[in-house]
Amino acid sequence: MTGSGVYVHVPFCARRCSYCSFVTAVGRQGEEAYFDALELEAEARLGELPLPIDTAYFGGGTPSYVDPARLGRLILLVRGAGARLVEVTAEGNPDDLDVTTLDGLSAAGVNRLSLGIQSLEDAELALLDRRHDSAGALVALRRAAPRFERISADLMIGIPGQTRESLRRSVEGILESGAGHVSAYLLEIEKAPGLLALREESPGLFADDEEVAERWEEVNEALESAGLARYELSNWARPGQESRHNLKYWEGEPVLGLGLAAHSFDGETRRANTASMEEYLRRVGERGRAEATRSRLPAEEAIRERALLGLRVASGISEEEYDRACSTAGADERERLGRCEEAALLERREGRIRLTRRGVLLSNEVFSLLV
Amino acid sequence: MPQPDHIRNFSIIAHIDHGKTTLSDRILEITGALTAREMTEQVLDDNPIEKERGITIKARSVNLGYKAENGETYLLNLIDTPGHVDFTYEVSRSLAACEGAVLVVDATQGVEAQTLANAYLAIHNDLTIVPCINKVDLPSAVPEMAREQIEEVIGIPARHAVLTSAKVGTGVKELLEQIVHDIPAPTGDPAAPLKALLFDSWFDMYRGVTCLVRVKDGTVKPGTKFRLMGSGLVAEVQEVGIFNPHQVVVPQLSVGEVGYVISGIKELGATKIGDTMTEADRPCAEALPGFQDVKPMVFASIFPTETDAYEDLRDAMEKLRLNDASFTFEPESSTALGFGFRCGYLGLLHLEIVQERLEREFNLSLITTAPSVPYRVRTTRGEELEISNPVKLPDPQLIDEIREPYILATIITKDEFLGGLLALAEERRGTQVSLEYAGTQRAVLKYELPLNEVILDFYDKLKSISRGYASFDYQLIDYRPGDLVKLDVLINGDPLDALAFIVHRAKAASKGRSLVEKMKEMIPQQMFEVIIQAAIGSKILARSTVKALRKNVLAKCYGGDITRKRKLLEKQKEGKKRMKKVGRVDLPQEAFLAVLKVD
Repeated sequence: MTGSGVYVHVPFCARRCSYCSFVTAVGRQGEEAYFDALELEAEARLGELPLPIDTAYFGGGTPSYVDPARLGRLILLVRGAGARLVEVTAEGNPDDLDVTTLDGLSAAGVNRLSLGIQSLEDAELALLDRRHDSAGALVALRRAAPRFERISADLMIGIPGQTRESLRRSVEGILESGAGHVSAYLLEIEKAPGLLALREESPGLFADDEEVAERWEEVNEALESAGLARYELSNWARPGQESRHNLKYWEGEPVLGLGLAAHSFDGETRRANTASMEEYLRRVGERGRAEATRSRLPAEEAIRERALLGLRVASGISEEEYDRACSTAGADERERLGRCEEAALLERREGRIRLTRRGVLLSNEVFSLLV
Repeated sequence: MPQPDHIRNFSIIAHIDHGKTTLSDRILEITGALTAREMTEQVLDDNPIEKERGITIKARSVNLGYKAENGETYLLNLIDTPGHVDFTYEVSRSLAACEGAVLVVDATQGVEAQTLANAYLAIHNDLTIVPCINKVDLPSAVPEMAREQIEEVIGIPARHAVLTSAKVGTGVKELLEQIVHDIPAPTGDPAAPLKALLFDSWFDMYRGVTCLVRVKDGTVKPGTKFRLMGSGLVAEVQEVGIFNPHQVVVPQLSVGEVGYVISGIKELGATKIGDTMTEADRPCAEALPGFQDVKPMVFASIFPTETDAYEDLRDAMEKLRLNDASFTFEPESSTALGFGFRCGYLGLLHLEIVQERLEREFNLSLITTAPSVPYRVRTTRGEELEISNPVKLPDPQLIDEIREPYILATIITKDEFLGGLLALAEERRGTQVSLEYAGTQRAVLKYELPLNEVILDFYDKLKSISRGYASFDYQLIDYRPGDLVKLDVLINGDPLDALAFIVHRAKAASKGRSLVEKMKEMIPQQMFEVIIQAAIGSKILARSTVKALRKNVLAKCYGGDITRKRKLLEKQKEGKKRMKKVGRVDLPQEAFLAVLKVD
């Protein structure tokens, strides 16, 4: 994979989901001003990105919540900078996806839709404070299928009250809808006060680590037997439907991040924009950029980070790259990494090293030794 | 130069929290030793750990000028004492420098175990006791009860006891008058050869060793060539002075005076507390009685969490010992934990203080093992061994007899808690010596107990049974045979030497069961299953399992925000570093002290 990507952050949401920890704003107030600023930032910074540029990604927040024409104008700007976009993704909330919005997104140049389905059970969706219900999710999936080349669905494992059966129903429903890509995440409740309170009240609704691990295995099994291979820690796809854009993060390709709190990487330096809307608008208005932090890892740490990120991808990294990363780690970490292999979290095969299925669920045991 | 008849040397003794330090501060304030600006709470406790814990560890002395109502000015030497049972020996050496002691009793609490123990120490040293009933400003104060208890429990007259509130300052002036009036002036011959008691010493990076002395006969001044009669060390005095409480140089120290002597000695080891300082060329006829050596009665091992910190740990311990001669250590090597030290302490509080100082002042991350008492073992071959480390206990078939240290414990309590306390003492293999009532609703309970049943959690249990009311003090009496066994703890089948401890056979099984359960709670899940077993020899008594970790994975890593993810991973990495790696298992520090947390 060679090529740069553009990420655009759309922070607006109709409401905040109970588990969310991203930078978002509720409501559409300030949308116009924000997109005006985004265009200024794009004009000022697109030149930094090496060609070819082949992906664009609208994340959020909820990109489907805003005027699709504004996404279209940004796509035009990216193309104008010399990009030959083969993948343009927008994240969407099933509730926003009426026919007009879907047509608008498609007309704007979006060819891949990533839908925050999470579950097809009404009770589970209600607990996550999602706007849509199961029927709405299925309608959105059905309407989206003919309009986009590729559809991805997010799935959440470990929702309070979720059972083996309810999870199986969600997976089957998503597969039947024609989605060729699934991102499955384990719900983290530690930063969600509402869910933490619920756990105090009804601990029985929450699966323990053991059960969550089993559920993940079952999801993996169901997706793989349906022909979706796991190509990254949390992502499954039919052949050819992998997210080109997200792979850039794991493979260390340059990505330019535009918008509030967006992150950029040029191959060496990581930059992050300010997370304050007011500051973003002001600074971009003044000089076209609103960078808040910039960091460049020392060479040895950068080698380990490359390995850490590369190991997220199912095909892993070359043994040579892994061994070089290990040689820069401390004695204690090296010994512990050896134990990770002993415990079959990592496996070596045909000159490459990768996380095993067990290793995926324990990936932080490995990654924390490589930071 | 102060005349001996205008000198009063005294200590303040009390049970912990009865207000001794506050009273000292108030005396300093009233005598004008410190200006209001200099007055900070707890002046005499200059160690931050002492301040935080509200206890006094090292004795200090202060010279105070006091103009009495008779118009004369007296020199009062206030010699501070620690209030915790671990440091009883420091109390006795402070008392040896005095003619009198102010016995402080909290008017809301009455006489407690250390009130009694300290009062007896003072009586034993032939000191004049000035009773003082403190905290009389509190609504719950019952001075009459305290007075009655001083007379009945301790057996000294308390009719004239001064009523004070050190906090608000009432009665302190009267107390000073009583000190001047009741405590005898020191006596001695200023023309005789120097005879001074060395009752404290400490090490300073720049000045070397500072000795605190009480002159009995003669004088000491710069140029005096002196000899320490016990150690034989000879040196020349460079400087003498006093603390008021600031360090002040004086031309000389004479009969009855208390002050410091600096002589450029670089080794604290040569200045033994209790030694007699005399003139090298004109020695006194006989030395002062001196003190018995304090022997550490609680032993525990200390290992650095990271193996390469061993040298740093040794340096830190050596520095610490310069100012704490009662702390002992010798190198130890554990198969599981690598190189460390076996350390001897006066008691559990002492252990905690040393560990805290090592970690805080020297920035070390440490593993401390469960404390043990010293055992005396006679082998089948007739050898007598002193075993302060369970690891060193010979095989059972080579042991003829094990004897363990016994204490005489004094517990003073309200009678409503007596039932629970009797049950506790019995459960700890105690034998009742006496049970007496003193005054209303107050019982004095004496028990002989094996020290090993007391060092871990006896004090905490006592406090929780009596809702904080009962007090406790003890003294070592002798060694007695016991049916003792070594309990091993196995991690994944391998005995972990640092976790072994010695326990009475009848308690081994239940102790083992609680221990493995407690350790299971403390050891985090890891990549491999961890099996914890308790065993005597090859016989497994209990087992628990920490299941292998199934999941440690972060949710969505979003929009390329690698930085946030790195922070979380770094936190996990640091967490692992704080644990001790034993084979394939990571053990948190507290797991090594799990035995402290079980019944």
